[in-house]
This record gives sequence, C-alpha cells and structure tokens, in this order.
Amino acid sequence: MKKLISVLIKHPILIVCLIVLIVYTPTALLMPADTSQRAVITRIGIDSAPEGVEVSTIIFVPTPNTSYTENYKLFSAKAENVSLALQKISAYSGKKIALNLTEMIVVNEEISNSDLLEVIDPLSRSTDLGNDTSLICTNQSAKDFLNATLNLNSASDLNIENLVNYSKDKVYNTDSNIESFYQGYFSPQKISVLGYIELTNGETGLSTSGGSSASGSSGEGTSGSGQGQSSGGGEQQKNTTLLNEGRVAVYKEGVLDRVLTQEELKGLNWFNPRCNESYLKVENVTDDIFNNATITFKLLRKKLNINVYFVNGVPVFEGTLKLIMDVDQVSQEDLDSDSLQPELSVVSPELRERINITAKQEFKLVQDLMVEEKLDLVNAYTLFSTYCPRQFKSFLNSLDDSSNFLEYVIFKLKVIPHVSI
Amino acid sequence: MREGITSRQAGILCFLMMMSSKLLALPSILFQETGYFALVIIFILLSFETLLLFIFIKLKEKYINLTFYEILSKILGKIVAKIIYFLFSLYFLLAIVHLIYDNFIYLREAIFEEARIERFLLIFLPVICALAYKGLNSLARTAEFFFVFIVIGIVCCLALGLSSISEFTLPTFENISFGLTFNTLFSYLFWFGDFAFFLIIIDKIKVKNGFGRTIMNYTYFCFLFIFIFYIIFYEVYKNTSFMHNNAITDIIALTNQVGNLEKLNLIALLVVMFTIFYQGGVLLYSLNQSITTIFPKSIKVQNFITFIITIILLFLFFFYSTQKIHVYLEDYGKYLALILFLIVPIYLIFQIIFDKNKKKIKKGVKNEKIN
Repeated sequence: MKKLISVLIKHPILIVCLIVLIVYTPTALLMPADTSQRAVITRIGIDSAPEGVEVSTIIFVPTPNTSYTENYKLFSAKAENVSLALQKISAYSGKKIALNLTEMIVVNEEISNSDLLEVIDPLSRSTDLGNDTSLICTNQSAKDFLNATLNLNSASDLNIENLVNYSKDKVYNTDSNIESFYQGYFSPQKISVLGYIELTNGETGLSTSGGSSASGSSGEGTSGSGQGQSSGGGEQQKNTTLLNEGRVAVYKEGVLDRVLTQEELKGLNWFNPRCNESYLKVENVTDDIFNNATITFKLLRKKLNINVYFVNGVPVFEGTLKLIMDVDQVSQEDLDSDSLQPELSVVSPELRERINITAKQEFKLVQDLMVEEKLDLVNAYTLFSTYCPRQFKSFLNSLDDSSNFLEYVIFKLKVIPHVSI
Repeated sequence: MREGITSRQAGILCFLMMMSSKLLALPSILFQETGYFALVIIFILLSFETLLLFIFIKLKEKYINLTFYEILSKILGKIVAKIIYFLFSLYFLLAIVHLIYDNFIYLREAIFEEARIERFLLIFLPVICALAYKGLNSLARTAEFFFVFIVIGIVCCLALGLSSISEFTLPTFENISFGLTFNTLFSYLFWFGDFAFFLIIIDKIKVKNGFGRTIMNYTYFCFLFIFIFYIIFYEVYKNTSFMHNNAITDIIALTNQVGNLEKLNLIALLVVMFTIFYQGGVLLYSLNQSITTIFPKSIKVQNFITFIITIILLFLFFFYSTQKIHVYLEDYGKYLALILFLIVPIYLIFQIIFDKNKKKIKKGVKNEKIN
C-alpha cells in the first residue's frame, strides 16, 4: 500500500486518471441504454400546415426479434416552425430527438413555395445531422410519403435511401442533399436542384402497399409500424406508389421554381459532366446499313469539354461531347442481316448527323426553358465569370436586365459518337 | 536536468504548432471575410510565419548559447526585455484560452453535444500540465513518437477530402481591394504567431550543422500541407465554405468513396486530439518559462497552479460566457501580435544584420549552456 501511495505521489497524473475513473465509470455503467432516452429519427418529412409546418418523422423503435425486420413508427406534429415541431415530437414520443442516423428529409411542393432555406434552417444547424443527408421533394404530402416508405423498411434490400442514392448517380446526375441545396443557394445563380420522387396511386413505380395515415383527431401523434402491420386510427388508404421518373425540382433563391420533366432533364444532361449513363434514341436513321430505323443507344461513357469564350462581344457556351455508346435496340420495318449485326463498329456520317440533331433538339427544349425562366441550369454565369471575367462583366453591364443574360448566350453542342467495340 | 532537444524534435514541434490552430475555424472565417481570396491571404500569412521562423533561426545561429531574454537584455536592456517577456506571457495565456475554446467547441460537436466544459477541462488541463511540467525534452520526445501518426492522419484527411470534390473549379476573386487585404492580414495576425515558442526555447535547441535547414524543412512541409488543405476545403464546399467551422472534420464529411464505412471523422478527431495536447503543452511550457524569466524566484508548482486557475477564470468568465473570443482576438489580439510578431522581429532583423558579432557555427560546435 505504501508502495502504491509513493508511486501515486511520484506520478500525479495517475491520481488524475484515478479520479476520472472513479467519478465517471460508475456513472457511465449505470446509465440506461441510449435508445430508451432518445428517439432515433431515420427520416423527416416537412409539409405546410395552417399553424406553419407539419413535421413527420420515422422513428426507429428497438424491438427484440429473431428476424431481420426492424420496427419503425411515424410521429407527426404541427407547429410554427420545424424546431418547435421537433420539440413536440420529442414530447409525443417521450424521448429526446436524435438526428444522428437521419438519412433523408422529404419536403413537398407546397412547403417549397416558401423559402426552403428558412424551413430547413434548424436541421442544418444541428451538429447531429450531417450535411450529406438526402433532401428530396415530392408532389404530395411528405407525411404520406414517409408513411408509404414504412413498409420498405422490412425489405432489407429495398429501401428509399437506396433509391435516392441510385438516382443521384444514374438518374438525376446531381447531388440531392442539404449541402448541395446550400451550395446552389449561395452560388451566383442562386439555383439549387433536388431530386423529385412522386407519390402516386398508379400501377407503375415502386408499390409499397401498406402503411396508414396518422391517427388522432388532429392528425398528430404516432401511427404505423414495420413488418406490414399498422397501428393507429387507420383512415382511408392513401397513395402508396413511389414513382421515380427522373424528374428534378429546381429551386431559385430557395423557392421551388419548377419541376423539370423527364425530357427537360435529359436535355440538360447533355451539358452535365456527371451524367455518364443514359440512353439515346435516334429516329429516322437512313444510311448504308439502316433504312428509316429508330436506334436506341446505351451511353457507356462520355467526355464533356465545356469551353466558354466571346466572339465580337457575344458570349459563346460550347460543349464538345465524346460519346462511347452501345447499340441497344434497332426498330426497323425490315430488319436484314446488316442491321441485325450484334456490334456496329463504325458510325456513318448520316448516323452521326442524326445523333447531333437529336442531341441539339433535346437540349433546345431546356435551353428555351432556361432563357424563358431565367434559370441558369448549366452554370454559365460561373464559367463565364471564371474564364472571361472582364468581358463578361462588360457584357453584363451592357444589358438592361443582367438576369436575362442567357438570352444572348450562343449555345453550341458538338457530339462525336463512337460505338463501343 | 538536461533539457536540450534536437533540431528534428524542434522541427516537429514547429510543425505541430504551425498546423494545429489553422485547421478548425480559420478556413471558414477567412472565407467569410474574403471569399476565395482567402487562399491568397493564407499564402501570405503562412509565408510571413515561415519568414518569422527563418529570422528566429538566424538569431539562434548568431547567439548560439544565449537565451532570448539574454539577447533582448543585451540589445534593449533588462527592463524592455522583461516587458517583452510579459507580452509574450500574455500571448501564450491568450493562445491557450483560444486553443481551449476552439477545441472544446469542436470536440463537443464532433463527439458529444451535451459535454460540459468542466469535463473537457478535467481531461485537457492535467494532460497539458503533465506535458509541460515534465519539461521540453519529454514533450519533444513524445511528439516525435506521435508525429508519424499525425502526418498519416492528415494525409488521410486530405486524400478523403480530395475524393469528395465533385467538380474542380477555378476560384474567382471578387470585390478585392488593397484595404480589405491589408485589414484581413492585420486582423488575423494573432493566428500566425505560432513560432513564438521557438524564441522561448531558443537556447535549448542543440546546434549542429544544418540544424536550421532541418527545422525549416519541417516548416515547408507543414506550409504545403496547410495550403493544400485550404485548397481542398474550398473546392469541396465552394460557396458554403463559410458555414463549416470544423474544417478538418468537414473536409471528409461528404466523402463516399470508402464503401460503407462511416464515422471517418474519427481520423480527423484523432489528429486534432494529438495536436491540441502538444500545442497546449508547448504553450504552457513557454508560459512557465516566460514567467520564470520575469520572476526568477518563482516556484514551478506554484506557477502551474496559478496558470491553471488563471486559464480557467479567464476562459469561463471572460471568453466562454461572451462566446466572442474570435472577435476579441481580431479586435485587440492583433495589436499584441503586431508588437510581438512584426515590431520585435523587424528589430531583430536589424540586429542580425548590423551587429558586429560575426560568430559563425563551426563543425562540431555544441551548445554549452543547457539548463
């Protein structure tokens, strides 16, 4: 004992370690499980409501079982803002809100008509919630959207997060999270793009077939669960099909401006360096091999080179696109042995011209939209101000309304197609 | 007790000191002030800081065996030397409080939002006290041991950050003026006095041929790391860089290149934890040396107890309660930095150039005077 005391006196840091151990170890050991004190939120939905907003959350409920299923419940609350609504949910669930495992935030079109930056402000301030949390827009109620996703939790290989992550790289070709929203908001164009998943009652799409709306007279409180069961009031069956058609919601200064159609997004993706996988349908192809054929190509790789410059004071936005494609399907009245060959190795001048025309037609659709709506969806402002700062500044000064600058920009698109061998 | 450290150990301490205060809040604060021009600002300030160290090394080469106090006494007199030492003590004290503030905020956000300050102080202060109390030699040796891990951690952060860049864009400098540049440089001068400790330990560095080059190599290495770090950080976050106050963690927050691995911020967290302990230890050691020089009869244990109480009081009742330490340092700390890191070094440059003492380091010369 004397030896121990002398060692401790010689090394005072050991005394400090002992004090820390004695004070905190019993406290830590006696603490209850964190999940019994915290409501682990995995998804958040935000709708507008007469009070201000209605926030719905899917909360993970730890339940011992022998299967792979997990148990979730839907809580919702209406309040003046998101922060107060989350406080209410905390009171309803009897637990403190924990956002560390939140993977998705869904907003509907209606709430998007006000400044979304203000709406999601408490979420972005939270240190628990990462800025890489997915943020998507839906056509109807975000609460119904979350309710529809409840059943997907029980399928371990099929969930809404996978759908959004896949779409980010293969469908929208743009990030759709809190950070990307903010980056767009604070960019010179003030344009953000979010993924858009519709909730329908159609037959196509991802059918979730289950879930029920919130219980209680005020529509607040808790409902739903995983494993195909549902608890709560059980109002009429809502739309339960999630339809991801490759549409995106465009926000200008935080307010929803419009939802791009599939065709418009396809046109826009010609100038999107991140879009590497897509399909291209070329009609009326007539050359040595094909006769008035419609060919569907699968785009395997793409190299986009964007060049911005001025010609006689006029800004030119030029994209040169090298495409590596694969013939996926040929539709022609009389398919012969030439057109049926499995691999087409040479692109004829006629086919190249048709591809160029198709690409330009597709982009023209979105170009007209950009000019009309004053939406700089191709980052033209940033590129011109980076690479031609003086010319662009004097060009903007020469305009009556500089926000209308896209009207005077000449867009050029040159596609050099190669067929994969 | 022998307290000499090798040039490699001195270089490592310079590396850790230079790096640790610049990878948390500073990148976002600079971006908020000047946008992408922050890259130019950081380049100028890092060059300035490197130049300071170069001057200090030249001073060491000229007065091999003298302490900084003896050098100052020789050229300015004992009273002025003590005043300058008092200002250095003030700087070290503020630097420790600043270190505690930035890192407590960071660790609270990164680990446990509900952590209270007394827990942080209970863990942080004894460790830095132990490091500083044991002396420079043990501090430098442990820093030497952990240095490799720290560098690996930073390299991992840079690599992960690089993988998060979705699109590399050239930065554009808008609304930049000479006035803004000058004001920003002046306001953030306090952040770039990390080599002040070098003056306090100047007599304890073992001298041999090429010792200056060894120390400078570590500094250039750190310069490169920090500058690359800032470029990557601004490329990852672009227009929203001002929102991310914990740069070293945030730089890897958007990465999705490492499969399903989560909690990669642990890497950044470990880097910060190691560096803050060493920075705290070096600052506290330098504070003690400064005070001991001003009051030679002071007792080491009493000094440390006084420092701890002063640090806690200053932190809790002055800075933590107002939450405005960065504002205070920008508004008032810059004047302290102006004296210590601009006026004193300029005077030292003249002293190095015009002093007739032409003593040069010869092969085999060693420090004779090591306490």
